[in-house]
Amino acid sequence: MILIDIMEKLSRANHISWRLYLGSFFILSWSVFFPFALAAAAIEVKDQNEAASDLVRAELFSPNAWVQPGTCFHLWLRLTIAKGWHIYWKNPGDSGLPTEISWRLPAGLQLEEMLWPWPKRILAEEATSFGYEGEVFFLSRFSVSAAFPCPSAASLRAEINYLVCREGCLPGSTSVEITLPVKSDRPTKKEMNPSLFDEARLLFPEPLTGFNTRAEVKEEKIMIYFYPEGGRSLDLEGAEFFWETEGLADYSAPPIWRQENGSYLLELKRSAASAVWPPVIKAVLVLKSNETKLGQKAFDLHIPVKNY
Amino acid sequence: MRQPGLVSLTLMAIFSLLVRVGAEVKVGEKAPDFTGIDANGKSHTLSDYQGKIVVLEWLNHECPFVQKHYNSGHMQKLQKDYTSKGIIWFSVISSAPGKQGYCTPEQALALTKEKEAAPTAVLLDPEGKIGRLYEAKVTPHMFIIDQKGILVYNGAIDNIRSTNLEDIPKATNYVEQALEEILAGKEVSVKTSQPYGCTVKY
Repeated sequence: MILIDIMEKLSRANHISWRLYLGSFFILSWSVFFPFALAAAAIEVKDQNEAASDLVRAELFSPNAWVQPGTCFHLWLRLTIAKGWHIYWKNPGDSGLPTEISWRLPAGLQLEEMLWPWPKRILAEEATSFGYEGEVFFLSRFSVSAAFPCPSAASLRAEINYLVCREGCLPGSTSVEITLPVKSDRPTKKEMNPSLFDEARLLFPEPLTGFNTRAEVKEEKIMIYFYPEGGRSLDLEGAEFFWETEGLADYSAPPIWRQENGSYLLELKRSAASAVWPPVIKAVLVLKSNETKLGQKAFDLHIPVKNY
Repeated sequence: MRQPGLVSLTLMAIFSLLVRVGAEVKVGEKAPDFTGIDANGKSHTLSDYQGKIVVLEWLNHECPFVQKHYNSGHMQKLQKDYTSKGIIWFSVISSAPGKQGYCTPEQALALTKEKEAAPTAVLLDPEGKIGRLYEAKVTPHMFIIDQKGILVYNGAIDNIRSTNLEDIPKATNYVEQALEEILAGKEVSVKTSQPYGCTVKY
């Protein structure tokens, strides 16, 4: 064999047994090829072997260069979810767990509000859930007490607990911290990629104006009435309704919209699980809109329940 | 008042036919009958068990919510305690072949042994017939059928939706509660609850 000839020549030149050369050659080639073979087998990992912490990454962005005592400031939290995976909304729906975002703040800083973008419907047979894929932006507003010492620095930490799912699900958590200088002057705006956050802003629901709403429960149905004030109308094409209040509705049943005398009626199905009815139902309504480049706009609904 | 047009009426009629009618599985009504094959190849028909209390437990050992109840030993304890009182307990696997949780009969038997589970039988439902009949949404999704064949419970295993083992002793176990009530001849107090878990992989 050619290989053995080469080995013999080399070994004679170096006064080493050719068998040692051959042996080394085989060991070397195995150590090069074997890991590839292992890797190929490992690529076909089942969901459980991937670490939940690798699947969701958190980052914080401050639009201001520093913060000023006695004022409010905003922070953007971006979660980047690995492709093919999703996490859940405040109301996860039929399956999953709500994503929990909590903040560790120094004394003198308080969370005033945190905005969630409207979710996506995640459909499975027999189960409908609500969640997010890809990049998700949350906007939080904090207040700084007037007595906050300055000049100094404030460290804020966001802790996120989630259930990340593809076919299988993995519970996980991640956290991210940001330290902001605290100065007595009015903060300057930072140079940031404007389109990144402008688009994210379009996904937050606003309060619905121009309509009075009311919910009535009739046996298996939940009827939600929208009464326009001053002749306003709703474009119902592609309208989406997301329940924020849990346990009341069957999320898989298609909603039925009706228009009667200028007012609108949304008929939904009650869930099989009987639940205690609250005085107000919270929901998010997404409607077609030519006001935004997304073509859609979301509205926060607080609907009083009639037979409460 | 404008009358709805004929077209929209027809569309609404077609639409309402397409809407899933959940009347099949209603607490307080007769539980839908089915025949399932267990991991030993034995056939079980629900109506044959009339006179006994039957528990249906939708199962997928790879789901973290199911793992919470099995890794704690809690599900197995319920199975042992209640089957020893004459209750029939079926663990049902409705995962389709190739999907998470799917088991061949040999795998199902091995898992039952490994987890020290004690159901009366593990029903293999890879075509999802029993799952769809009961509209099983998640694992674990629990159903209880009384001695008269009436569905008396449909919902979650307990009242704390989480994957944490530590939550089990803090929670109200709806299955345990309902079974105790039925055995005492009382009405089930919590007949339904929102089930939690991973979606069933039809």
